[in-house]
Amino acid sequence: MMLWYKAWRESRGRFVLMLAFFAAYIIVNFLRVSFLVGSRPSRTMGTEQIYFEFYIRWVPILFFIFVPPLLGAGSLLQERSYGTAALSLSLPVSRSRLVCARIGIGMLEFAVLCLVPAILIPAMSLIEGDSYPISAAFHLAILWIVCGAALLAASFLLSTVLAGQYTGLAGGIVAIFTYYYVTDGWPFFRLFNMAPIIIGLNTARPGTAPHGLPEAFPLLNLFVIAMVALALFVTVIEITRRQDF
Amino acid sequence: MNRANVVETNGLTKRYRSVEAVRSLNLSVPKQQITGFLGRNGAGKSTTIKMLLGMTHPTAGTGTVLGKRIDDPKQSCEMRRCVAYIGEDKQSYAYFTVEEMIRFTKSFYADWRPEVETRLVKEYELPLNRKIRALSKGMRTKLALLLALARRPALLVLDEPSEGLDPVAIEGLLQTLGAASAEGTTVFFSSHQIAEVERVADRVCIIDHGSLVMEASLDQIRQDYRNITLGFSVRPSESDFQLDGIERIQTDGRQMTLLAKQHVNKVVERAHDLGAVSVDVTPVGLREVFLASVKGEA
Repeated sequence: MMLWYKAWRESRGRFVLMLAFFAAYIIVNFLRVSFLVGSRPSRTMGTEQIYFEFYIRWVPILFFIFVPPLLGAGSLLQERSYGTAALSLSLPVSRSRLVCARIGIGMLEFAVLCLVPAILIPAMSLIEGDSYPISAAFHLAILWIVCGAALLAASFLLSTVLAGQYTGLAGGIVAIFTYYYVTDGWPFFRLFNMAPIIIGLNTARPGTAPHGLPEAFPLLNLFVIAMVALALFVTVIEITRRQDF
Repeated sequence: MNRANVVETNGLTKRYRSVEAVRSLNLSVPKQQITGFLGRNGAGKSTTIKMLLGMTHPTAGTGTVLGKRIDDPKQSCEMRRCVAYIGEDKQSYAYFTVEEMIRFTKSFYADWRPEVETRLVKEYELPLNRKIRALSKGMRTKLALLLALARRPALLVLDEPSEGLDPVAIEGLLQTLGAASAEGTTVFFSSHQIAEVERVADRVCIIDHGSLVMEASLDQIRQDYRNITLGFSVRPSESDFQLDGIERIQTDGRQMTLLAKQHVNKVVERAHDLGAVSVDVTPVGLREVFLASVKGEA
């Protein structure tokens, strides 16, 4: 349990910062868009516009570029630059347990961050006289958690092989940018593009879903993504077991 | 494995690409003694310690610590339950307070002794609520000692423990090592400070360029080694004194200085035969033995 506490203390600052940033970002933007649509006859955004503004435009882009690398930063290799790797490794626990605690906390923090829009968007819509369905918001949160797990696992992998305090973080951001660019731009790689799934579409190209609601869960895709994430996490553990410190 | 030894290695080797950090090391650390692991910077001391504790994987060779194989992750993990380690920079997690660090550490050890923890917190005047990042190196060393000693480890391993400490802190540290040994803990510490090894160690292992060049008790060194200073009327030839057991020969004009492990009488006899005008045999310290062991490499 104390290993989980250690992992939490290590990432707490980054997590709280991201939590505050995304909550503020959603609230401020909700108020801004509400103000802009205030002059319309309906005076509300409606489900479709809320979905477009918050689940297709900036929120997922910012979220999936910065959150996985920030939460995935910090491995035993990076602890070495703080001088604490030897201390962690001298504890009577296996390296797998050390890594699993970090992965576990990373996933929990990521899941909590995914729930921020799921809670705030329906709540803000109610305050503003709209009603974005809470079931749709949680549906999208689940999609974010599964797709984000793969990106988080990739970020953990990078921070495991790249030494230095910020190298893993920078590498993660570059890798995610590259991933989006390659899978969106090159036809062959579109099959591996998670962007449509993240915004709730089962078809290959992103667009506006009917009535601003996500489509049914693409179970096979989610299963494959979850397996990829699992494979990456196992790779992280295996690499750490073999590393010299 | 010899049950009298807590650490034993056989041909232990670590290579980093083309660099051989540790070469075929055959090391033994006897139970309930203080063993100083002496070597220059970069001699391979830290790499050896890291291999012993499972932080670095050996390239070749085998080793055991407390009877557990160092290359078996499961056994290494079991071994670490009974081993306390204090690294060179004495780092603890900067984001913890002293109290949190103690709580964190004790959760891993069933044999934690709260009374020792309380005594040492008081004795070292550790500020429980202060963040570790705000502690001085001396205070961090005291905290590291508390975390190590509150568990009564069978083996206490320290890597350059006096590095960065002031003389008062070093004195306190050396006394603590002596007290830990008196309680039955085996102490194995690396250093390049000859004086402190000589001050507390029962036994010394000297490593140079990754190889063990000497392993002996300090009593044995004091008993066996002699410094012989010879004066001649003409410049002597070093080849006349190159015998087994002569570790070092230095000639300065008509004076020759030898460090002898054996054959002291033979050297004295030969010096008289060669017309030496003065012969002086004196005991030696660890410093001379160390310098002779790493000779010609400075």
